Amino acid sequence: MLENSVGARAGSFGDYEQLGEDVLIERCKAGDTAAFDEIVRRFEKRVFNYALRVTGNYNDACDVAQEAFIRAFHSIQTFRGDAKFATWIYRIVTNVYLDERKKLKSHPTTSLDDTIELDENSVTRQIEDSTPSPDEIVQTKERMRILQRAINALPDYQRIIITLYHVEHRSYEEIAEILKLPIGTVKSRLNRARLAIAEMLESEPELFG
Amino acid sequence: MNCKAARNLFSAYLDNSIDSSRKVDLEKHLADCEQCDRAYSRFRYAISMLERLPDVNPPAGFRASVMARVEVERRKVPARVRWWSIDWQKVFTIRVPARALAVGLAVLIAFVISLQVLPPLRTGIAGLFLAQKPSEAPISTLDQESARAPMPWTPENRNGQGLILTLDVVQSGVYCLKLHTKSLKPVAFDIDISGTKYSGFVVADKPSAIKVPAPRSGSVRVVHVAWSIGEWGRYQTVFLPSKLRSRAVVKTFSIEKATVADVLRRICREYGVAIIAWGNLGKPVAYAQVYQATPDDALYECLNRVGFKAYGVAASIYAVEPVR
Ligand SMILES: [Zn+2]
Repeated sequence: MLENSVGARAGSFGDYEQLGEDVLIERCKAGDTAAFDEIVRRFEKRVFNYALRVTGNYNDACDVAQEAFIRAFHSIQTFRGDAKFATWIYRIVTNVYLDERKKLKSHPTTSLDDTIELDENSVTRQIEDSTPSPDEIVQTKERMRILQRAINALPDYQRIIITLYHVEHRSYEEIAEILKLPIGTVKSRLNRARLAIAEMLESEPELFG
Repeated sequence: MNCKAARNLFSAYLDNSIDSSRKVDLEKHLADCEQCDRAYSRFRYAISMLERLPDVNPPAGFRASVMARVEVERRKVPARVRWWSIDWQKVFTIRVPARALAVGLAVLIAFVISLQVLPPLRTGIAGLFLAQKPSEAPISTLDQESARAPMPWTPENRNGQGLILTLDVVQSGVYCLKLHTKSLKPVAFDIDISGTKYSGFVVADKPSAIKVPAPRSGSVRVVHVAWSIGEWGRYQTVFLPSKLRSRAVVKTFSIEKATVADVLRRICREYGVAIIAWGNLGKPVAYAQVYQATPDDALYECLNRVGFKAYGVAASIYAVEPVR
């Protein structure tokens, strides 16, 4: 997952890969776009996947993720070292999503299940057996599709919290910081979101029995 | 324990963050109540599915397209800036459809507060949210001694088609930032004064003015102004000292590993001059030595080699812009 940008880096930016996050950010602040490029490389996958689960839509995820990086670029001067960059960028993505969601929902969308072809490896990883049968692959894909649909059906704040916690594996403390909410509120909302998801999946007993 | 209470504990039980007495109660309930027991296994299963959602790769060329946009943005000054700091408490407690309302409220509240703190305002907000006709701004109390800048904002301002920023000094440490245009089309603006945000529009016959309290002694207030007219726009930064000093002084100091913004802030503070600037103020300034210099010389010394120029537009007020 770390190094799959095939051939995208010709080695000329090699030094940047060695640099620490704080150094990169200092360079960004000084107007060094190559440093920002490295930041994008490091965070694009997380930003994209977060945007994907929150928007539930591949095209929208591209837009939101891109917009988030542009906002990060513009406001990098305001980033202080007291928070992790990851926390900061998650906050920006969340804000972009909340700002844009009206627009996003109004233009014709293709749903997640239409556009994401799960590759065989990721399907295989879902199935504990070493050799999944074609049936199992189909069933796993179907489960993932239904699961994303359930996530999409959640209210925005529940979807955001459940994604941050279960997909992005952020701690309660970090989510509280990203959303500027008290930890207790994060916990109670996560509980509600989990219950809602479980309830929605109950209506699919053949897959989630 | 009833079923509802039991279900509310599912999360804590799953995370093992439940206290032991409640844990005993819950387990007892799950043993007795078949429905909750089944609900809990479904709950656990659903969570395990969530945890196993696969990562998806961004589309090929995603990073390249981000960087292409960054390049474009870097060249042009950002057009309309949207302020995106959101009051999360409001977003989340007023519930979804009310968010727009919540933001509107926040702005209104800011407006009301500023009305109280700063005497009569004619911010664009008035025009936007209250459909209020701008009245004459109370600028009659101008200190004639102090600087007054009729800011013809740079030749690039297309004959006043953009936003014309004028800085006045009102007595008792209050600046008045006037916003006007010669354009008949509305010029949208956003202003950030130490975290308080205003936005609105001005057209030729409807100027706006915002009072900005001077910072406390020895510090600098930075005001960000973003505006756009059609596709064209600019981001300007105003540096305001605690007190404008009208008589020229000379100073000696050096600056290291700074940015243009740092330099302007320093000069603003050292000399007590106001500076209105645009351009990439994040540009690094490796080193600059200012020796017994006037503000003009200091600005030249620090900015010339990084491609910026400064010129005085009134006593103690300077404009700074990139050299074209
Ligand atoms: Zn029960």
